[in-house]
Amino acid sequence: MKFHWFNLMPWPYLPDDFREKHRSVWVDVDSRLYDPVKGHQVYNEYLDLLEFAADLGFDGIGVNEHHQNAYGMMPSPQLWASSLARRTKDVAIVLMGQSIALYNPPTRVAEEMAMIDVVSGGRLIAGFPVGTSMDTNYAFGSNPGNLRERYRENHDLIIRAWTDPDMFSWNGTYNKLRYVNLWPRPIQKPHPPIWIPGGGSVETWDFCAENEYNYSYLSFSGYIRGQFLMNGFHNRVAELGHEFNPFQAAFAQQICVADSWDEAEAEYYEHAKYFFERCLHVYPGFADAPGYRTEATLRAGLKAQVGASGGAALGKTFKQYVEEGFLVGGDPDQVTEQMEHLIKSLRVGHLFALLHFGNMPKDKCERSTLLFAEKVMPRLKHLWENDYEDKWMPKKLSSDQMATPRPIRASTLVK
Amino acid sequence: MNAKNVTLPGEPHATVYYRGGSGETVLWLHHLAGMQGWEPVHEALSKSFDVVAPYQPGFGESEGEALDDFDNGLDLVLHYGELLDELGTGPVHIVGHSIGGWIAAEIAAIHPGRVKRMVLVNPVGMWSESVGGEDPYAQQPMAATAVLFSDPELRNRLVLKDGAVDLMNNYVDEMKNLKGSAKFLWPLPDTGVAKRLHLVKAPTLIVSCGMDYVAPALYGEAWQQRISGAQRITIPDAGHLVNLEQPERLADIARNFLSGAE
Repeated sequence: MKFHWFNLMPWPYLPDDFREKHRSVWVDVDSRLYDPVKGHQVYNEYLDLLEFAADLGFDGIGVNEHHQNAYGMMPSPQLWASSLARRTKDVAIVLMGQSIALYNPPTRVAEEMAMIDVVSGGRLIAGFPVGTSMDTNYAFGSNPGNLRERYRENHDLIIRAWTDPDMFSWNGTYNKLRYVNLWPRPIQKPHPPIWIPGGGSVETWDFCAENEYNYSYLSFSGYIRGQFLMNGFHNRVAELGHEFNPFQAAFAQQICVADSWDEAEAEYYEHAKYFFERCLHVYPGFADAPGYRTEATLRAGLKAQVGASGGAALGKTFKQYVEEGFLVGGDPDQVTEQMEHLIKSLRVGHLFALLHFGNMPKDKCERSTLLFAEKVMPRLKHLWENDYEDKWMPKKLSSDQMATPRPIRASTLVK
Repeated sequence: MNAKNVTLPGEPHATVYYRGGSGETVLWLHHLAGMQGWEPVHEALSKSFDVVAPYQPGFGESEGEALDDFDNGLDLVLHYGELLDELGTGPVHIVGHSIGGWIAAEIAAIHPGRVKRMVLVNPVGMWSESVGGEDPYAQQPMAATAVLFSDPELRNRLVLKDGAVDLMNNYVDEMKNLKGSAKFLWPLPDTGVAKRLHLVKAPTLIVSCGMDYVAPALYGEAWQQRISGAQRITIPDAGHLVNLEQPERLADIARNFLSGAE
């Protein structure tokens, strides 16, 4: 079982009346709510937390791409992935990922990911999200009707750019290039492992099954609802004649650990509320542009990644969050039990531990992360280990091949 | 009335259309959210004309995948030309509503010999930040077309038929139709037609609606200015979907203009 520490990097200063006064946290959220001077501290704390998690032995540390919103402030996550590559060793750099349909030409993504893979010594996990409708269609103006087709062509071009040693031309529908000849090229062969973060479209399942990519389910309806989606994926893999492998699936889950249930509630409930009630406050008109989801997905009644799921978690108590799977929380034993249930019922081999959520301050996050790393993770790592091969982790250089960057500051551990 | 279909040369998918009436042929090109089959406005106009009302490829009763066969406005112009040739109509009048107005104007600009007289109703295809307009593609999903009416309540009667229509089926249909027009109008409806309007020779009437929130009436002035000799009329209390809100009035306006009474 693998654990990756993930931070969405939300803006933690949205006002208490945010839901009433603003229609959306995404696309048209008032820019005056952002203060770059505060933002300086915020980014640096979030990056500190990622490096801290690396020190504690998480298998990976993750960042991802979103635009024009206060839910997750990383329009270019590769900038942070690069910083983390230099300031960590051994840990996988989970770039989850770059919205490949939004880069023109997409060989830009192939180049940037190659740079990160090389400078990190082969530690990159390459995420290729299709991207939310908010990001792709409304913030970036990409046409919803051809987004998936464009994504497919961009994907094919990136794979060829990484793997074809000879220069080639590409005369596609969405990309026309006469000379494609990537410098640099990734360390990992044939290329870094590819993970597809999806919110539940049938097309994404097929894509992952056919290409042997990891399917990462990123949704905030909690793990009880997540089971339906994950079963859908595993069933599809079986239908297409492939072997079941839990490491081919990943799931993101908000988690908080304290010394007792009461302390977990006292310390972390307000930050979970902030996340569910402010960070997910997406105007429904931006969640799902016409044509973004295919007619097949619409009829299957699957919900979009973020937009539609926010409503489900409103107005709940801490106990309800935990009982309904929106949040894993409590003392280390309770968290271990909930995590084991999640891992086994969803049959996932990779877990994105969202130990930071909402407006959680750094010190609280460090305490929760430390408890998770010391008292929960070790009791779960054995799951799946002897029965399945994890083909989706990076194949990095050996330690004698790894460069030693100039020394970095030691992390500050909460005593 | 039953839909008809015909597969045009070189096209993988059939074109689905309605046709009724007799006399001179009027090609009716529907709005950005589709067409409700043979509508009251078609029926009214068909008392004086032979009305041909096709679904634009990908809309309504036509195959959704037909949308993939057309990349841009030019492809649609050529498609309608093929359709008219196949039906043997010769030159036609055109009523173009909303996105249909854009394509009608392109046909008149690029193939002037095909077009006799033309009515553009709330045409879409130009953008000005100061005039703006509501985004028809950024609406609450279960009320996606409410903004197209002068009063959102009208949608309950005119689209949902006072509860007779299944909400989920309607949602999927509306998304299919909006996807069909979004392909050409995304992310804002500047189709480049403005620079071709000077080529239009057909006598043209612009119909603007005072409560059109998506293509505010002010755009009508810009269309009129660019089409030589164009006239303009305003229906003050109608929304973008004036075809559903005031079918008799719209049919009267079209009939008067197309019969050359103006």
